[in-house]
Amino acid sequence: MSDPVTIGIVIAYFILTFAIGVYAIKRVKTAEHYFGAHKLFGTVVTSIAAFASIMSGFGFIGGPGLVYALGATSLWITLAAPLGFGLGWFLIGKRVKLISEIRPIATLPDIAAARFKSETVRGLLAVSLVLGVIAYLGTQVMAGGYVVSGLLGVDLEVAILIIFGITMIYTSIAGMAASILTDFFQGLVMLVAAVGVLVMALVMTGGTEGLFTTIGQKDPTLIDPLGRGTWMLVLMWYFVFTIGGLGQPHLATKFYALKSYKDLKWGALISGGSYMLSSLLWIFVGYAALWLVIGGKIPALAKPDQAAIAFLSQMPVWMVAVVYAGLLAAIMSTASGFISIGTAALVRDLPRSLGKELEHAKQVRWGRVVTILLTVFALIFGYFGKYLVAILGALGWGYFASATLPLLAIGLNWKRATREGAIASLSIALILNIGFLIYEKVLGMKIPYAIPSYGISMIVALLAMVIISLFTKGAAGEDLDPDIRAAIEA
Amino acid sequence: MEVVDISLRGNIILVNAAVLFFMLVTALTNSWQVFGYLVGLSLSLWLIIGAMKENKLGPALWIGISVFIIWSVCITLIFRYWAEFRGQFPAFTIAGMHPGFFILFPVMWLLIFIPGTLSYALLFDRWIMTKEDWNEFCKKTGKEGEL
Repeated sequence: MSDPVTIGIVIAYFILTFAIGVYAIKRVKTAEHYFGAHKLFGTVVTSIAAFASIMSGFGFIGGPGLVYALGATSLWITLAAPLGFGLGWFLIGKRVKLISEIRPIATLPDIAAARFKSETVRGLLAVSLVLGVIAYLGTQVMAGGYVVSGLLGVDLEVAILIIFGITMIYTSIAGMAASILTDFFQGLVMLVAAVGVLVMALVMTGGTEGLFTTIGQKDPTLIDPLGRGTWMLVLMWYFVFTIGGLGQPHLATKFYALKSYKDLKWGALISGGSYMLSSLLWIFVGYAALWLVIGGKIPALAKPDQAAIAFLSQMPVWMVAVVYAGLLAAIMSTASGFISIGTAALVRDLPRSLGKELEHAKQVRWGRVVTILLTVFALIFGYFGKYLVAILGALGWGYFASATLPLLAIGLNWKRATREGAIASLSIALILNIGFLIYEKVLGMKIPYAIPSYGISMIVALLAMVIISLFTKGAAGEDLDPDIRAAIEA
Repeated sequence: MEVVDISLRGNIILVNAAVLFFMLVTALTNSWQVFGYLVGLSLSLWLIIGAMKENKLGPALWIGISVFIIWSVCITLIFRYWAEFRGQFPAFTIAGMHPGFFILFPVMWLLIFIPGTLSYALLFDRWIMTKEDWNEFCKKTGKEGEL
């Protein structure tokens, strides 16, 4: 259990987050507001929320752990992401926003169905999203539980109920509007934590000179630009985490939350810049933990993921409290976005793809019920799933990137992209991701040169979209609806 | 009706598809240096595709070229310094950092951010979505005066 200051700040964080989430109900008037926060927020709120939802708890714990274990290898992930925000705004921001100006868009499958005039595309994408959302949430359950349990000194089960119970309640009440508003607050907390950590780490280690010289003299590999990884791994990571960023549903959904197309202007800069700042925590916490161990100030860590905790043990109490609040913010902001996206896919998109549509009032009512059911299912899955959670947990960023990227990056920029191409690329992404999962996690086989499997899946899915589109005609060229054509040509 | 696409953006997408195919080939043959340059080329082409208009390149070309040049120069230096000081403490450091590391972070990180992300805000009113573009969009969608 932590000291009273940390507990006080963490409890205050929970109360504020909950209050902000519940406050968001004031904004929700339609089903589109509930599922997509359609045209509810301005630049700053949406952009900070976009950054917060992309920076998950992994950036606070897993990232520094990877730096501790491998040196610079994992930096190719976090250094790629700011360009990913730029690509997101350039490639899909304007087009998604324009389509949402003229149609009641609330979900990614709404966009896909409008572009490709296909309920099959809507249904396939909805299934892909639900699968990915459950896999992601399952992995967060134990991580979030352990953090809160250690902080508040309560049982793991109680801790899981606290962190995900709060997230579930406010997301259930106000849907995506609550998710975005709390993400904004949580993003600010993360930024304060990141800047504080950077300053403290540099003061503690004597600046970059003292930090890297100490580590490099012990093991030069840890301070070179590759670290202990392979070039294929880091270069593929850079590619996947830039272009793949705009395929992440929790980023793409933010564009139709903007009030006006003019709100696009500063978004990439704010989101990308915020991510840049927060990535300093990933980098410097990891290296500072190495510095502490090499300098004999703390014993060697049993597990790399203890790097952040080890670093915090050397920090003043208030700093520890802020970083823990930032960590909880990172976990909860990503989780609430995924819960909203999964709920929308189940309540709005799957029934539509089967030719059934609920009335708007019923959509919101069922949305609240399904939010609770989905969260409870994810908690049970995450708590009891163990081996299955570990396997499906691999279906993360890369899975979403390969499933949704071709539809958005090519579909919204190329009038020649066809419905058949979209169905083929979605199907191939699903098959390849599950196939690689079995190949690597169940059969224990390895892809050569440490190439991340999702990199291959993403490239093949993009190629499938282009090649199949060249030989088919559905929902392309002259067959495009005039408003969609206008958005693509803008 | 036969679908005919002669748009410039469509052609760039096809070129990028070819680049993606070669990325796959070089990845599976562990030709990581070539793969590294192809990553920069593909990212630049994606930026051009996103920043251009249907048949007009405008500043998109310069955004793409800038990113490709920054990427190519930086990745060349990163590869070079990594090979030169592999497994040993580097003969010189910059602010305590391995020179290859320093190029990766902060040099490449900051430089690519300028054309790749910051330029969106700088070009928004002049190119990305001008008032005229917005009016044209409203006209095409029959929503003049409504949006």
